[in-house]
Amino acid sequence: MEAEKKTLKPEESLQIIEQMIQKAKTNLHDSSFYFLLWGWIILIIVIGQSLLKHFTNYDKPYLLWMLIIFGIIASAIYGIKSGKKSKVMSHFDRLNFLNWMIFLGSYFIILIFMKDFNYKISPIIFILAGNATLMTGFLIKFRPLIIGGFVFWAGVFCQFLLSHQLLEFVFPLVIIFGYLVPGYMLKFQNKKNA
Amino acid sequence: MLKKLDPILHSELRLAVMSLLISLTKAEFTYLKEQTNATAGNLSVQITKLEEVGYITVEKGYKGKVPQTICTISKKGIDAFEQYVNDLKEYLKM
Repeated sequence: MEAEKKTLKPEESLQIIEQMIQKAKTNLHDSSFYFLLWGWIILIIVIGQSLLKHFTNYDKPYLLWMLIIFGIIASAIYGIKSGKKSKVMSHFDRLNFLNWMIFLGSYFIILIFMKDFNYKISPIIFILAGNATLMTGFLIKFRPLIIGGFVFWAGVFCQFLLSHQLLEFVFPLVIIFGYLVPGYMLKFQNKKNA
Repeated sequence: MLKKLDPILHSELRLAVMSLLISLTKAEFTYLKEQTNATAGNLSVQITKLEEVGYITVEKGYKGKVPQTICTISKKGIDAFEQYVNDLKEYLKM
């Protein structure tokens, strides 16, 4: 692209603006890694907890939730590495990042006051996870993630309406359809567009 | 009477750079070069002009051992870009 050589016509200016904005728009970072990482971690925790409860005498199955620390470390390392590699940050990327930081902040506040909630925090976590997933879905205009967000919301209803036995089957399904399926679809789409 | 279009923005490469930066929070020099297909020399001159009028800010640093130039659009740049688009619309009677 050469500059200063000719006078631009207004139509040409408009064309340049459109072309460049379009190019910048295709620059969204691939966030599928996080959905897959967290999807698998939470799925392992939820299924692991049920298995420990039913098939062993281990009395502290909730300790599996410590795996979340591994998720936070892995997410942070991946985020820092991909941030260093990246040549650009879009407004969408920034909003998406803030969206999940807000989720993380809210999550920790709930963890701190877990006792005051009588340890019944999973419906609140599901609402927060659903909100953040919906927000990402709307930001990147990716329907499977929007549906994933609604799956988390539906999971909240289940927690109040279904028995504990049934919930042991429902929880993994919420994770699979809320995080993993949209995550793999997003990964597949990003690979196709790469 | 139609307003004169901002001469700083009414240039192919500078307009392309501003159009990219309006959609991004920040962009590296190499990204701008790739997207505009400009030569490094030409792009560098135009970026300096945009910086001189305060439309963008330029941060120079290092990514590891490699020099890195990061460009960000300023508030003045956003206002000028919006004004330019409005003036364009008047020209095109949109």
